[in-house]
Amino acid sequence: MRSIARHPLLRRLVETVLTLFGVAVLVFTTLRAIPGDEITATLGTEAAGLSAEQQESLRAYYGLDKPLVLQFFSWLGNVLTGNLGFSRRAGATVGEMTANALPVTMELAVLATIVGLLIGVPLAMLSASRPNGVRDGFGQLVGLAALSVPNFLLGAALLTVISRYAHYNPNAQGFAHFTQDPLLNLQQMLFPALILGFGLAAPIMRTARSALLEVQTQDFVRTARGKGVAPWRLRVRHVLHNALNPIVTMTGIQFGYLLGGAVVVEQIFSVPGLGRQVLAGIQQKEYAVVQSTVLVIATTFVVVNLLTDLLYRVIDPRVRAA
Amino acid sequence: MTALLELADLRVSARSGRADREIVHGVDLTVEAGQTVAVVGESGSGKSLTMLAVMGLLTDPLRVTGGTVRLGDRDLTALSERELRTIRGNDAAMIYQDPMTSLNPLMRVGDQVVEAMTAHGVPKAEAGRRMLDLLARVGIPDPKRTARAYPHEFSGGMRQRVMIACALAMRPRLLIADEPTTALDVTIQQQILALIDELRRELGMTTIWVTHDLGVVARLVDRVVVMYAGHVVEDAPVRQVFSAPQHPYTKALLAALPDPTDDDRPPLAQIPGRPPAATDSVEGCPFRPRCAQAVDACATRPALQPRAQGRAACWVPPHEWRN
Repeated sequence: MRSIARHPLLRRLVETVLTLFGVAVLVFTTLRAIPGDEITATLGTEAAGLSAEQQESLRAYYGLDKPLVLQFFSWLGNVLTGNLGFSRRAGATVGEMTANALPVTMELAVLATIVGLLIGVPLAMLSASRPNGVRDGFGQLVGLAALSVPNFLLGAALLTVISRYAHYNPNAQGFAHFTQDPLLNLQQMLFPALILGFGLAAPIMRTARSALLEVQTQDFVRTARGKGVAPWRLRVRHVLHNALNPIVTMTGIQFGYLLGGAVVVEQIFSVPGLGRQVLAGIQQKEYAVVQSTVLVIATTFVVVNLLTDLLYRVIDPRVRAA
Repeated sequence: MTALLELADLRVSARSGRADREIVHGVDLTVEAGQTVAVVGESGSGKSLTMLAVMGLLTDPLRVTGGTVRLGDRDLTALSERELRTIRGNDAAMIYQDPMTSLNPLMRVGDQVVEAMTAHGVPKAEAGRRMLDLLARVGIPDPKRTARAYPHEFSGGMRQRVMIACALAMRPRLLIADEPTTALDVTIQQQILALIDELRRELGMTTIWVTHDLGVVARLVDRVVVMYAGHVVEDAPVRQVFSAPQHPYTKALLAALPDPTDDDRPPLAQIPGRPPAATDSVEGCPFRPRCAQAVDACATRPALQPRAQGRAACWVPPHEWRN
C-alpha cells in the first residue's frame, strides 16, 4: 500500500486534483468579492427599483439566495457530472461555448508558440555564437524590445497600419473556424499569432541564450570540435540539443499563459477564444461561465505541464532511466 | 627522423579586460614522427593549454598570441577554422581528462564514434561498420548492443574506451592523451594506459602524454618535457630525466614520487611554496622562489640550453647543486 501511495504518478494525480480544487475555490471567492451580481449586471441601475419580493425571487432564480458553500458545491457537483453551467447572455451552455472557444484558443496558442520558437531560438543561437559581440547585442536588443512593447500596443498598431494602408483586414468579417474555412481562418490567426509569438520570443530567447552559453562551455562540445564536427552540426546536435530542457520548460509555462492570457489580443482581433469568454462572463457576472471556463483553462494548463514532463523524457535518456 | 610536430615560441594568453595575460610563455618543442613524449608539470603549468593550442581548441578568453605550430608541413596557427577542422580528429586527435563529461549525454555512444568519421567524409554505412570494429578493439563487450547505449549507462573506464575509439577512428598521425587516467579508479588506470600504448604501437602513432604524474607514464615514453609556470624547463630522454635530472624542478618532481622500495626516503616529499599564479609577473627564473639551488644569476630568466643530452633552462649545472 505504501509503495502505491508513493508512486510518482499517483502523487502527481493527487497534486493535480488539489491544485484544480484550489483554483476553483480561488475563482469562486474572487468573483463573489467583485461588487454586483448577475441581476445588477443585467438590469443595471433599474435593479434598485425592484421591490423586495422581485429581488428575492430573482435571487432565488439565480440561486444567489443559497449559502456560498452550498453554491460552490452545487456548481462543483454539476461540473463533475459534465454540466458546466448555462450562459443567459449567449443562450448556450458553457460546455457548448467552451467546445467552440477551446479549439480556437489552442490553435492560437500553438501558432503563437511556433512563432515564438522560430524567432526566439535562432536569435538565441545567433547571440550565443559570439557572446558580447555585435550579434549578441542585436539579439539582446530585439529580445528587450519584444519584452517591453505591450501587445495591445503592437496589436492595435499592426491592425491600424495593415488595414488602413494595405486595406487588408481578414479579422473584420465574422470569425471562421479552421474546420469551416481553413484559409480564411489562418489569415485571421496570422496577426494575433505573430503578436503573441513576438512577445513569447523574448523569454524564450533569453532562456535559450543562457542555456546555450552554459552548454557551449562543456567538455563534450570541445570533444566534438576536436573530432572536426562541422559548425552547424555542432550547434544543433551537440549544443542546442543539450540546451532543450530549459527551453521546453519556458515554452510550456508561456503556453499556459496564452491559454487564458491572450484576452487583449483576442479582443483586438475579434478572435472568439477562451479569454474573451471569461471576460464576457466577468462583465455579465455570469459566475458559472467564469468559474467553469477558468477551471477548463487550469485543467488544460495541467495537461500541458504533463506533456512538457513527457517531452523531457523524449529529450534526455537520463530522465527516462530515472 | 623527421619532425611531425614542431612548436616554436608558442604563446597562449587569456584576455582579461583590454589587456592580455600571457599564460604559456613561448614553448619550443619538437616531436619526431613515431616518438612518444610525456609533457609533465603541476596543474597550472600550461601543459594542457599548450596541447589544446596545438589542436586549435582554445576557447574565449584563451587564444594563441604568438609562435607557430607545425604539423607535418603545415602551420596550424595560419589555418582558417574550416581548414583546421579537416585536421582535427583526422591528422591529430586528442583524448581528454574527464570521460564523465567529455561525451555528449544525449547521444548514443556508437553515434559519437561514427560522427568522428562522418565529420571527415566517411560514408555513414561504412562508418557504422568501422565503429563496431573500433568498439570491439578498445575492449567494449558486445559492440552491437552497447553502441546503442547512452554514456550514463557506462562506467568511467568504459567511457574513456569510447573516447579512445573516437580519437583513433581516423587513424591520426598524432595522438595527444591529456591526463587520460586522472579521473579513473587506480585499477582501471593501468588498463587504459596499456590500451592506449598498445594502439599507439599498432597504428604507429606519434604520441604525447600530458600528465602531472611522471611515474604513471615513465615506462611508456621516450622523452620527457617538463613544464613549469608556462615555460619548458627541461626536455630530455626519459632515462636521463630519472637518472640525472638537469633542472632542480625536475629533481624535486622526482623526489615527490612515492617509492615503496626505499625505506629511508620520506613517503612523500614536497616542494616548498607554490607555483606562481598566472597573474603574478615573475622576474627571472619562474622556479627561483622555490628553488634550493637559486643563485644571483637566476634574477635573469635562463633560456633552454643544450646539455649532454636534451635541454634545460637553469643557470646552475647539476654538479654545482647543493643538496
